[in-house]
Amino acid sequence: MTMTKTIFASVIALASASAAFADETFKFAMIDPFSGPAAVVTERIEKVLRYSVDQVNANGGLNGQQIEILTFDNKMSPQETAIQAQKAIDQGARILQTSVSSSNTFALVDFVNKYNRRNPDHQVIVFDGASHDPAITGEKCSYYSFSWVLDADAKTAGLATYLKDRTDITKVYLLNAEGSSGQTTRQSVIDKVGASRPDIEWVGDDTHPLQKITDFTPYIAKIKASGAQAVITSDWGADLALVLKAAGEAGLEAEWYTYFSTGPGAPTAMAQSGLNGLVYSVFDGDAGIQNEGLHAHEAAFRAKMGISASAFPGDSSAIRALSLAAAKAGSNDVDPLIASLEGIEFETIYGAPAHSSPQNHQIVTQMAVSRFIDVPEGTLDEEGTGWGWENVAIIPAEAIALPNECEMKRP
Amino acid sequence: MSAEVITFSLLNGTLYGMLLFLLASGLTLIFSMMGVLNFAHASFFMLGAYFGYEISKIVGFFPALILAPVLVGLFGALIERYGLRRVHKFGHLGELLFTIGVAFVIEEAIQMIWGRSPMDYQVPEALNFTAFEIFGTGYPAFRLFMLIMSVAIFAGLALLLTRTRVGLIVKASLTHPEMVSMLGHDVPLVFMSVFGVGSALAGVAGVIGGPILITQPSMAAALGPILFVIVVVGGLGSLTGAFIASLLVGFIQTFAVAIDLSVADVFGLIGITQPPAALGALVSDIWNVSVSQVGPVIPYLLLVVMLIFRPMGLIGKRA
Repeated sequence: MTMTKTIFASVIALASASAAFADETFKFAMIDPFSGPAAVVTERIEKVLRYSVDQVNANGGLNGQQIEILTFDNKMSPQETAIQAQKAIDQGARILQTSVSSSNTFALVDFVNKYNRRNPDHQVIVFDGASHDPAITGEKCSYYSFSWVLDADAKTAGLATYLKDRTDITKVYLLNAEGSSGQTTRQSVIDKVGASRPDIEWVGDDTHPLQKITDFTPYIAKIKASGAQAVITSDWGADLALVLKAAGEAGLEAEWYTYFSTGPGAPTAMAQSGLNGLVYSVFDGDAGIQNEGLHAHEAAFRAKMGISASAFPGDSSAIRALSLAAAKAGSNDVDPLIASLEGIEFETIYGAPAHSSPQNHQIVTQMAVSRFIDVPEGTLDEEGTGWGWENVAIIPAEAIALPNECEMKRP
Repeated sequence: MSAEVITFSLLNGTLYGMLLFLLASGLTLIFSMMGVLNFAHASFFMLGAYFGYEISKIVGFFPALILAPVLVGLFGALIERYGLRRVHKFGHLGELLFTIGVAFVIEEAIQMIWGRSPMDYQVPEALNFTAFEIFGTGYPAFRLFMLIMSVAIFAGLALLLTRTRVGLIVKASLTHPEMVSMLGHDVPLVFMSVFGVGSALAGVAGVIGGPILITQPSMAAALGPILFVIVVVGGLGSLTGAFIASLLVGFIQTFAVAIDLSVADVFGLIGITQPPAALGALVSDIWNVSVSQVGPVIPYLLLVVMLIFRPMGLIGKRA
């Protein structure tokens, strides 16, 4: 009995070992909500990722090895993320990426930390493609995880820098959803913008339920009554679209400073609202940045995929950094890859220099403040609306570099 | 509260309430005349919005306002004829589960056909202007159009059901189906028509609501729950009840947003500024929550309270 078991076990071990050797592709797992309301975001991220990977593969892949993308549906749940991560590893994935929600990213980093401790001979890397929570490269930072977008605090710091020169704005209204993302951003705005512009008066501070409101007109009436010149909001998705449409209907003339207005559907709603030049995006970047490389990339990407690439910079950055790091390391093994990913210097799709900070594995790069306008014919627009981004300020990386709370445990 | 805020809230509450009634009217019609609680109603609304979007691209908004509901109504009638009628003999639970299934199928189908991104469904040019201004805030003509449509549908339905032979036969079919069919009326056809008209009303709401809300696959799920609040609070099966409940929910939600009062403010009036530590973390959590923060949840609270103390609803006949 024991004998058969041993033989059986060794046969399986041999089989899996030879499978690993015969393995010709470098497996990159994308663990995101492919079903449910958030799937619209995943759909676009997948396009950006596939495009970047195709470019790397066309140039010979990672040290001659082609990258293969595997997709896993985490149904927007942290528990399911961990389950899918195990499945991805079983299928041979070496890098696991999640993008859509910070809580899923935390779950994935947690899972991989444990997995790598238990399987020191078969470790994996986490890529965070678009989540927003500063804690991912802050107090919860991990040696195995790399973040490829600016976090909420960095963006707020950028907004604070921009508003320093906008002395005409003195009355600001805060509108955020309940829940951790909305509330941390709200506090961060009060702290950072409050510090750079102590003269700003917060004429309103509203918290509303997340993605449950169908009629935002009462909020617009309140904003109007407060005399606000600007509204800062971390709203996203349907909330952002509805609140901007309501503002347009009521003819509200306040400026909107938003974190997520590059996301799917928001440009359509903004163009419908008719708020010409009143909605500002505080983001990593957008198609309005003056850079020839960016415009060429956007044109090529749109021709192939039909959507704009600049709304999801993290996935392009991740693959660019990975390809450079693999070339530098001369190996596709996890340890040398991590070593060369630390501090890797590359260029983002916005044509800006970037590097991954060796201290906390967070991308360090510039950001942009742009406003949404009815663009002239022939300029890059968004979602076929004829409206697009006009850059008003580039905030350099130094201005948004914040002290980090990461105490990284290194093996 | 200033006169300005009260005027705004009354106006916004009425406009929002009427949008809700536009949606709830078909649902309550189907329930009162057929006894079927249609969980797919919000999905018919969504179909109306997508059909409206596609048709208005070709022939314009106003023809779409007629054609799209007709299509949705035919679709609803087919669902009744070949689905619901077969499930009917297994009782109400079967019908309920069937409509839930239909809702999922419609949502998936819409994602397959139109994709997951929102459609660029815009307010028609003819109605895209500011109707009037109060205290410097503009009110779009399209919202007024919606208000008029809502009131017209309410009046039309109420007259049809209470003042015409059609209404008489439909009501009798529910309570005395054998008798009605012996008098020479085709009872199954009556039910099919009622379901079709109810679905068509959802279609009308979709064509009008699409440009105001966002035409995307999650729009049905976002509105479904509040519809049931209206129908239950108003009284299952009562058109007038649904009308009153729609306005009530509209007012509650808009007035709540305008009120910044929190538990802390109330106790502040009698000189207590800190939550008593003895009451624990729960109280200190809700201490600073203002009415405006919980506003959108109040209708659901109303639903629960209503079911406990007056299960038949405001004007409902059924318990």
